[in-house]
Amino acid sequence: MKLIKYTPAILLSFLGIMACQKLFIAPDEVANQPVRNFELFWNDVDKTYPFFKEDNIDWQSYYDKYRPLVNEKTQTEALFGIFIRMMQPLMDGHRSLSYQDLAWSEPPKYSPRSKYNFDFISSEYLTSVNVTTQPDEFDPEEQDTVLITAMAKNNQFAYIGLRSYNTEIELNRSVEEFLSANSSVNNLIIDLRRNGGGFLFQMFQLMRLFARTKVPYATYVPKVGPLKNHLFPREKYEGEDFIIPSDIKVPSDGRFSNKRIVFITNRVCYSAAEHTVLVAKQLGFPVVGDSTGGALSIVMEKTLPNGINYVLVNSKTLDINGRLWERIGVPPTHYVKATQDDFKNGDPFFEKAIQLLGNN
Amino acid sequence: MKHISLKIFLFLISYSILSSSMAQEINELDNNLVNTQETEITLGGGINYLTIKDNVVSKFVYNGLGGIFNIGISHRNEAIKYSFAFNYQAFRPKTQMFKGFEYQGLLDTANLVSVNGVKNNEIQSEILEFNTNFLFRVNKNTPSKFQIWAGMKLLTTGITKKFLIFDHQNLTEERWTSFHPEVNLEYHLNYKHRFYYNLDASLLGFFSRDYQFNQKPFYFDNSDYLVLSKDKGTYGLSKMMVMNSTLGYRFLITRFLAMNIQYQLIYNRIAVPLETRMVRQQLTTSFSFVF
Repeated sequence: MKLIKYTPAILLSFLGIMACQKLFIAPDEVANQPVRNFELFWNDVDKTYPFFKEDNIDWQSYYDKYRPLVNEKTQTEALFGIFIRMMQPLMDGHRSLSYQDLAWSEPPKYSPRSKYNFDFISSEYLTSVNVTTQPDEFDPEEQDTVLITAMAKNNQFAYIGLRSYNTEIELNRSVEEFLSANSSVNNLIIDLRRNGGGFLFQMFQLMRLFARTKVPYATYVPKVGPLKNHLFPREKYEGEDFIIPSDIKVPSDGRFSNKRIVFITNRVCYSAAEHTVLVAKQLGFPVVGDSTGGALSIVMEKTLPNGINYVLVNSKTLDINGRLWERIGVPPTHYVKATQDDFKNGDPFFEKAIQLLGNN
Repeated sequence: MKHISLKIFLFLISYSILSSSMAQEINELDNNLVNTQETEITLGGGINYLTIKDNVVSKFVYNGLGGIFNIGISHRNEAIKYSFAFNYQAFRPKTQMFKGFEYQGLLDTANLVSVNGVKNNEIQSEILEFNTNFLFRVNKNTPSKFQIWAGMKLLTTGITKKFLIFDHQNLTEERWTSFHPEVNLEYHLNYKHRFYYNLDASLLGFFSRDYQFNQKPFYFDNSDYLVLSKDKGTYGLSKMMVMNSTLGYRFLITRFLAMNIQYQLIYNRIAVPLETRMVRQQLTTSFSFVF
């Protein structure tokens, strides 16, 4: 009977104790969508972004600063603005945000025409110019140049302008056909200027034509664990083929590996195009011009529940010697000192390439 | 949940009937509230609700219901009691925070939500505990209906947690060893029925955590984890705390068989390298063979 008498008190105590977990751990604000989206974004970057050390950024301080600005009434557009402020100081050159009609990415430091004068090259040096285009990703009315092939007027060299890897066109096949049709020409200039990158497999398929053996050219160091230092320890794995951890290798085909090739690059040369530069240097080809743009690491694209889409890297790409060129840019083997004015009536980078081919 | 509740209910009914038949024998012992010497082997199980906020894993709170199995041996006389117990728990605590979150990469990792059975919104956890208690009777000279015991507890807990960071399957292995001052109160209604309450909290503890990961499950054998780094150290109350609050009821079915129903609230906190808090609420039923 005593037990029955005390049962309500026991039950109440039990329920009280059951609620104790909230005293120890406050629940997440799942229902509060702006906060949830902020938390997801912050947490994802916290766990996967590899460059906090290089950026000298304490990501927790960003949480402390920006989280109080978000509440249940925060509009998605306002949250978008907060994310821009949070992403701006990060090193990753690929970082970008989009939401409906809003888009943000780092404003280009260099104009697409920076240190590149194709009109001059075309009129002064080239003939049989063939331009491959595709509809622009954002404006299908516009056509983007993907590939330019041409022969020198004096027939001493062939010219390949690789403008984009962001294409479904089989670039390697086009280049193969072009070089096969002009097999007597031994000198080749590959111009990477204005190449914003794209699919890495396009680069592999193309560069394998010029590689005699399978060449490791870079190291892929992914962020694999939750703490800041949890980057993949490169010395602990043996790499296999290309897109895997450890050394990234370009496969070999070698059909055109006997060609004398000079690559041209400048600051408007990003991502997969920068990988091309790393491969070229590893294959021993001269690279002429200026350093690349400095956005080499492999991107991940994420979408939050509220529709905000953001792009960030979750790995570091180092060159084969373990050096990081993110934001700095991959340096050429032959740096050409020239101002923008020097490109008004000429193209010093191109002229240096011709000079090197002559000296080869 | 329905099945578990039904099983508990059937247990209770069965033992109520059993106890009635044994009542006469037990009633004879009512005048003597507790045996002077008693050794018990206990086997039990139950349900366990875990709430965890491990900032190493993610900033989110994960909740999950799990199973618990325990086995123990104890001995007591009028002055001292000691026990050794082992228990195993398994969980898959989840968070709702990832709902609607998508990602895709250039590689073959697009929209990945699960690797080797681990989902990106859950932590697969297993907990092993080894518990040693040693208690002295404080109020030895007062009537034995209400007993106060005090002593020490050594608790060793091993926790494994599997979770995803993209397609990288992470595994952390934690070892918590802590020394606890402990207070135990017993209220004997009669020989058959006993209520007890236990409270202990760690003063000093040793904590170590190994971080391991399984890289690129699509390409490599998943069986091998690679030890990536380790945190370890001895910590005081400000950095590490394990607290245990237990409320229980013991019912002697026969002279040689007892049933225990207990509710336990266990709180674990470690502040290195990042704040981790875990609360477990356990409801267990166990049977003790008394001799």
